[in-house]
Amino acid sequence: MGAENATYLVLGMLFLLIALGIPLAIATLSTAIVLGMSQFGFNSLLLIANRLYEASTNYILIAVPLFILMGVLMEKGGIAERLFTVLHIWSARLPGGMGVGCVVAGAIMAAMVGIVGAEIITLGLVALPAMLARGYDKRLTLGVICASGSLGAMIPPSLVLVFYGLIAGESIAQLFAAALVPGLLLALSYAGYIVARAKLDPSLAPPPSPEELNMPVREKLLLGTSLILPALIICGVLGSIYFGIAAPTEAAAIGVAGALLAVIVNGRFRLGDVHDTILQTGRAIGPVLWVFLGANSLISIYSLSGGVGYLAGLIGSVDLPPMGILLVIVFMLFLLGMVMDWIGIAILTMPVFLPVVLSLGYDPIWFGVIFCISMQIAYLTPPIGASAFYLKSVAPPDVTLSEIFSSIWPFVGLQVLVLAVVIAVPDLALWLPAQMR
Amino acid sequence: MLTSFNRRLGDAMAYVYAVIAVLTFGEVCARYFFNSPTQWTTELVILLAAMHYLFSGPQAYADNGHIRITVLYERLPAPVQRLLTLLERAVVALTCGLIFYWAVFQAERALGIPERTGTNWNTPSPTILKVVLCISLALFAVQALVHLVKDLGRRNGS
Repeated sequence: MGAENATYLVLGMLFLLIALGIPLAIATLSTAIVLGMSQFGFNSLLLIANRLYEASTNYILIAVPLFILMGVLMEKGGIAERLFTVLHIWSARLPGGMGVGCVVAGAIMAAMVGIVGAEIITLGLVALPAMLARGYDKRLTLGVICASGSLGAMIPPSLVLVFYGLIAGESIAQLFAAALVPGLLLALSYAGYIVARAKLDPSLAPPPSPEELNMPVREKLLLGTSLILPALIICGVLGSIYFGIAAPTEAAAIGVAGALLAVIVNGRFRLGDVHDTILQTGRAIGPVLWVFLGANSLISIYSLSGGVGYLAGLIGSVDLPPMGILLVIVFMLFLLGMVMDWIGIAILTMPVFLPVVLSLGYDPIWFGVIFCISMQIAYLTPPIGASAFYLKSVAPPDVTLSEIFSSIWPFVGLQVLVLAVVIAVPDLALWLPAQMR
Repeated sequence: MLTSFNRRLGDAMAYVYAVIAVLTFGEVCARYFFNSPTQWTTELVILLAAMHYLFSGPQAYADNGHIRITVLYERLPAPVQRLLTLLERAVVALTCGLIFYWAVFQAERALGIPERTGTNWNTPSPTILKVVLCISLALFAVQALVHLVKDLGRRNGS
């Protein structure tokens, strides 16, 4: 059986199993088994067992649970909650101030938490009731929360970038640096959109009460003191990665220590919480990691059977200019993002797409940022918009899933816009990493 | 019973992350403040984390927590859903069982040497992990069978 048939087999079987609702991790593993047996015989299963072992002994991978641990600690310690309260008071005078506060809080939380699920749940619990109580338009509010929460996948330390770096063999520090400017650009575009909407139609975003507006400046600044420590943690974690002081895994451990300190200083430290935090982290790992293990096994057998080279050649030989091929790839990422989880997409498609992108002469770091923005969009778009599911799980019962999905389109539009800008002006992503080299 | 065993095992293993965080943070301190990087931290941390990764699979399956795409599944009538769930259990058990067979083979070979990391510290962690992989896959497969039996029982009962 040649590479072509292997490709049909993998695509057909994977699609069927996933559509039937078999867990992604097992769907990839069983496809790997069938492919291995048909290509190389029964003995090839040893390779799968070996890949499972090899893939789990990766040092950089440990950054993932540690970043999750740090994020859950911050969330449990009430730091995220306080952040939103402070920011919405500071931005009260802006049209749509609470919405802008929500975006800024999302961006800052993204830098400390980096887990979309945790972010959206926190914003959904804190910002959603506050904004609705103020009389903010429901659709605008839901969209803002989904979009701000998804920033966690973009602004470093983002798990999407850690996995991309692992697969592509690129420096995670460089990737983090590259994603910073486009990530801020995304946040800025959300904030700009809210201000514009609120200015055009003030009924969408009623202004705050006079007592909040008249709060003395001193008091406002005093509110901010509780945020100094979290800010220092962000600088410490990202700084030590950017300046090469610590590997990403070590920086994550520094973050855990910092988060613990912040929680203790804020007086929210409870031993029971630490226990819960650790358990929650442990439970969050399994589903993500086994998709990684399964997809990793499948792709190694598939590439052994020549399939990866075959597919890459197929995409590369399409009669289009380099930019055209890149756009085709981005479009395929969109489509996959609608039905699949980002981690599955990253592991299954990157071994195919990356050689093509490299042979076209594009920078893999830049492509990493493009991939990351595409996955932002994947987080929002139905039918598998993870953001919407997270928000639904904490929203009041009268908020329906279809309401959430209908609220996200303006933000998807902004994401596509930023994606286009980053594709057109690669320096937006590449300038900062170039300064580090 | 096995279901709760898998849950507890995963939960207990989660504490490795507390150890990992402390060790890794300590390593950074040791390197910069005391100028004496250790040789064993990385190796130990990798071993601990990998052990949790492997046990987290059966744990997540005990709670049906693995990532599934349910767009189509949710639109099907209940009897078909039930059949598909049975199919899922069977596929999971078969897949993990098959890999288990070869993981045992791999572990036997590692035990025979016994395989070590070959670094300065030279721990037998590859051997440990390969054995852990066998146990984890076995738990995964048996968990699927336990779920299967329960699903079948529920079907007859209703």
